[in-house]
Amino acid sequence: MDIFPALADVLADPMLLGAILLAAVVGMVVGATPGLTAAAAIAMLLPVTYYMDPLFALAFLYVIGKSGRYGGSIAAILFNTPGTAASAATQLDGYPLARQGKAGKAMKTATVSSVIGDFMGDTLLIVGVGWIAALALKLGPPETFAIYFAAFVVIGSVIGKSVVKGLASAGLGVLVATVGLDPISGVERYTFGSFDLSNGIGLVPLMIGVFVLGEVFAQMETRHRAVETVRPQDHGRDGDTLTWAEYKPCLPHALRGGLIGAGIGVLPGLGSAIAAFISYGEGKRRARNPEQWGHGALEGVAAPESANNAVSGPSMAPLLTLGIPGSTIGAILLGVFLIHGIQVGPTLFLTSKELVYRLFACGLLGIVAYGLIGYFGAAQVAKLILRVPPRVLYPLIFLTSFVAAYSARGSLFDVLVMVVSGFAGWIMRKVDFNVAAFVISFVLAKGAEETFRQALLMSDHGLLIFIERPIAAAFLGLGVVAMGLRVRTLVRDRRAGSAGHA
Amino acid sequence: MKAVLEGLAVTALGGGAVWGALAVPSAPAGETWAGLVPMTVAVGLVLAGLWMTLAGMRAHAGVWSLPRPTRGTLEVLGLAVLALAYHQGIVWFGYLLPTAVAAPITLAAFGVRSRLGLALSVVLCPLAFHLVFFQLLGVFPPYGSLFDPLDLLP
Amino acid sequence: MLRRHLIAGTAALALAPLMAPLVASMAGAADYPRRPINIVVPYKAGGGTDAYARALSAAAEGVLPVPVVVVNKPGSGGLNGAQSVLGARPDGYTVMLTSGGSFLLTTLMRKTPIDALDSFRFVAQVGQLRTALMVPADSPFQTVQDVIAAAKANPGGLRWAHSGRGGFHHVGGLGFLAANGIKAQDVPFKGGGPARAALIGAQTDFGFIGVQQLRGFEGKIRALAVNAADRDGIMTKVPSFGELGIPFANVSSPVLILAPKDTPDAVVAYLEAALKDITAKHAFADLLAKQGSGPVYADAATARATLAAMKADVTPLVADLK
Repeated sequence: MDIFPALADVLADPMLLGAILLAAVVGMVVGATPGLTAAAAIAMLLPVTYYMDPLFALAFLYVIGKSGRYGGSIAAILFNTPGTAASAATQLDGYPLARQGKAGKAMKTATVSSVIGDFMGDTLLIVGVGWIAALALKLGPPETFAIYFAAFVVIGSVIGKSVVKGLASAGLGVLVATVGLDPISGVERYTFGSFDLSNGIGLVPLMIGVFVLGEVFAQMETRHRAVETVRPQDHGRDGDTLTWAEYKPCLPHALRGGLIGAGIGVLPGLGSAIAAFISYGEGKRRARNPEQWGHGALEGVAAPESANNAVSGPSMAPLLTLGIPGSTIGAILLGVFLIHGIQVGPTLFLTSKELVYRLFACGLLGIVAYGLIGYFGAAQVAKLILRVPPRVLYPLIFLTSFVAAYSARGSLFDVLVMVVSGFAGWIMRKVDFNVAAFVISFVLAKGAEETFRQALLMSDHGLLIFIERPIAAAFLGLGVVAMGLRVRTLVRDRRAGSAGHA
Repeated sequence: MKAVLEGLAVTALGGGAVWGALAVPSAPAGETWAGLVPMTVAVGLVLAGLWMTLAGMRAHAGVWSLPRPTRGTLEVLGLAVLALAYHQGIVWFGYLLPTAVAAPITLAAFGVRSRLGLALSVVLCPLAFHLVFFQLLGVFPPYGSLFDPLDLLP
Repeated sequence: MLRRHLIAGTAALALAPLMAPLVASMAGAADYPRRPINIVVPYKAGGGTDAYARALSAAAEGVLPVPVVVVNKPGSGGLNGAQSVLGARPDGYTVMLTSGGSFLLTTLMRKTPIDALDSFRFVAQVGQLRTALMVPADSPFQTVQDVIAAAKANPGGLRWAHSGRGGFHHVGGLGFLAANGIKAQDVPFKGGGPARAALIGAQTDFGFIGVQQLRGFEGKIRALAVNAADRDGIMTKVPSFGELGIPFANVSSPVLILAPKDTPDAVVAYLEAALKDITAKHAFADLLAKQGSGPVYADAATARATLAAMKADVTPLVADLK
C-alpha cells in the first residue's frame, strides 16, 4: 500500500498541513457563499498556485474542491439557495429542517454524510487507481475515444428538463472548443483571421466568465429581491445537536449515496450534481418514510450530501490515468499538473507515483479537516458569510475576476474572453440553457475529437477500428445501451404523462 | 414569444457556425476533414433551433408582443458595458488607472452609498490587487499601450 | 468623481507620446539590469524547452543581480509568445527562450510576418533538443534497417507517432522517411508526453520524439537512433543516424534566447556574457540532467549561423508539407 508512507510524509510536513487546513476553510466559505462554486474558486485561485511547489498547489486546489462540495450544503440549508449546483438536492430537505429550527442538526448530518461519502470515494480511488493505471498503459486513442463517447452519451441523457436546450448547450460547448487550430492538421477553424482566436479559447477565462462573472451579473439582476434566510442563532439548543439515534437511520442512505457517487465519479463528465440527485431519488424510493422526504427528513440530507462528495475521489481516476478530465475541477487540475511539468496520463504512475499518493493522502486529511471544522463551526462560517454585505462582496468578485483571468496566462485577450463568456453565461441561465453541460462539453470536446481522428489515422479500415478493438467496442456498447435505456424512459415518461393528462 | 425568439437565436447561431465550418479547408487524401466535428454540431444546432422555434410557435396562441426588459436586465447590460470598457481601459492604460475608475463605479452600482468608502476604493482596490498579483505573485503586469503609470516608476 | 478621473486620463493620454522616448532612453545599458528579467517561453510549461527556462532561472542566481522570471505564453505553435516579445519594450527586460527548430518551422509554414532569422536579435544558444527514432520495448524492430525494410514491404502501412505536425520532430521524421524513400502514416499527438505514452502502449509502430524522453523509460521504449550526425551529449548510449550510415535530414532544435529587434547592443552583450557564465554552472547542467538534456552554449553569431544552415536544409521538406 503506497498510501501509508505517503500519509506519514504529509503528516510530517507542517507547512503542507497548514495548506490543507487553509484549503478546507477556503473551500467551505466559497462553497457556502451563494453563487460561488468550488470550481469557480479554483479557477480564480489558479494563479496563486503557479508559485507553489506542485504538491502544495495540487493539494490546495484538490482539497478546496472537496471542501467546496461540502460547503454548498451550508448555503442550501440556511439560505435556501444551493451554494453549488451539487447541493441543490440537499436544499429539498435541508431548508425545511432549518425552518423547523433544526438547522444545526441538518448541517451536522450533512457534515457526517459528506465525510462518509468522501472517504468511501477516496478509498475506492486509492485501492483501484494503480490497477486502472496499469490497464491504461494498454489503451490507445480508439479506447480513449470510446470512453469520451460514453461520457457524452451519459451527459446527454441526464441533461435535465429540456432535452433540446440541454443538447444545444452541449453543442455550443463543443463548438467553442473547436475554435483555434485543429489539433491534428493544424488548420484554422472559426478564427476569422484573428491571431488571438487561433490560440483557442482558454478554459480558465471561460470558467471564470461563466461561473464567476455570470454569477455577478445574475446577482446584479436579482439584488432587489429579498432573500429569505434562516439565521443560525435563531433556534434553541435542541436543534443543534445530533444524536446517534437520529443519525442511525441516515447511515444506510449515506452508504448507498457513497456508492452511487463513487460509481458516477468514475465516469467522466457527470459530476456531483447528478450524483446527488440520483442518490436522493434512490434514497426516497427505498426510504421507510418517503412521505417525510421534502418536508425535512434528515435522511434526505444524508443521501445527496454523501453522494456529491463521493464523486470527488473517483473522478480523479480518468484524469490521472488517461488524462481525461472528468469534471471542470479535474480540467483545471490537469492544467496545474502540466504547468508543473508533470505529464498526466498512463505514464504518470511511472514518473510521479509518490506525488500522486501524497496528493491522495492530502485529500484524506482534507476530509478530516473540513469534517471537524464543519461539525463544530459550520454555523460560524455561515455567520461570517452573512456579515459580508453583498453590495461589497460582488463588486470585489467582479474586480478579482478580471485580474484572475489575466493572471492565468498573462493575456488581456483572455480577459475579453472572460467578459464575453460571463455575459453569455448570464444569458444562458436566463433562457434555461444548461451551463454545466456547456462547460463540461467544452472540456471534453478537444480530447474526444483528437482521439477520434488519431484512431482513424491508426486504422486500416476506417471506423471499424472502434469495433476491432474489444475494449473500445465495450465502451461504445455501453454508451449505446445507456442511450437506448434513456430513450425508453423518455418514451415511457411521455406516455405516462399523456395518460395522466387524459 | 420568448421561446420563439430563443429558437430563432439558436438557429442563427447554428447557421453562423455552419458558415464558419464551410471555411475550413478540405483535408489531404485519406484523412478526416477538420471541419467534420464543427459542421456536425453546427447542423445539430440549426435543427435544435428550428425545433425550439416550432415548439414555441405551437405553444403560443396569444398576442405577439416583445418581452419588455426589466430594470434588472438593464442594470446587467450596464454592468456588461462597464466590463468591456474596463477591459479596453486595461489594454490602453495598464491595470492601475482603469481599476481606480472601475472600483467605485461597480461598488456604487451594487448599492454602496458611503462617499468615504467609494473614495477609499479608488486608492485601495488598485493598490491591493497590484500588490497581491503583480508584486507578491510576480505576475507580469499588463502594460498599457498608450500610457501606463508603471512607466514613470524607476 | 468619474469626471475627475476622465480629466486625469485625458491628461495622461496627451502626455503619453512625450513620455515614450524618454522612458526608452532611460532603460540604457549603464544601469542594466535593475528589474527582474522576464523570459517568455512560447510553449506550455512542462515541456523540454520550458525545462531549459526553469533551469536558467534557477541557475541565474549569483550571476545576474536580478531574478529571472519564466513567463509561459503558449499557443499557435510558439507564435503567440513570439508575437508578444516582438511587441515588447526593447529594454532587455523581456526576452524569449524558444526551441529554435520548431520556431523556424512554424514561421516557414504558417502565414506570419515573423522571420525566425531577422525579426529578433539573437542573444545566445543555451541548449540543444534532438529527435530520435524510437519503438515500443516489445517491438519486432531491433535496428533502423528493420524499420526501413518493414516500411518498404508495406508502403504506407506503418504508423508513427510525433508530438504535433510542423514541429521539428515531425519534420525530422518526414526527412528520415523521404531520405530513405519510404512512406508511413503519421499520427500526431499533442506534445511529447502523449506521443511517448502511445509508444509505450504500442499504439504505433515507431515514433519520433525527443531523445531526452527516453530517460526513466528505458524498459518501456527503445531508441534506435538519434536524428543527428553524432551522438547526443547526454543520452550517449543511443547511436546516431550519421554513424549508422543512414540518410536523414539535419533537423534539430537549438534552444535560443532571442530579444526584441531594437534591444541596445550593450544590453545584448551583457546578457550574452551572463548566459555563458550561467550555462557553464554545474547547477544548470544538474537541473537539466534530470530531464535528460544538457547545456550547449553558443554565442549570438554562431547560433544565428546554425539556424540559417538549418533553414536551408528544411526549406525543401517544408515545401512538401504546405
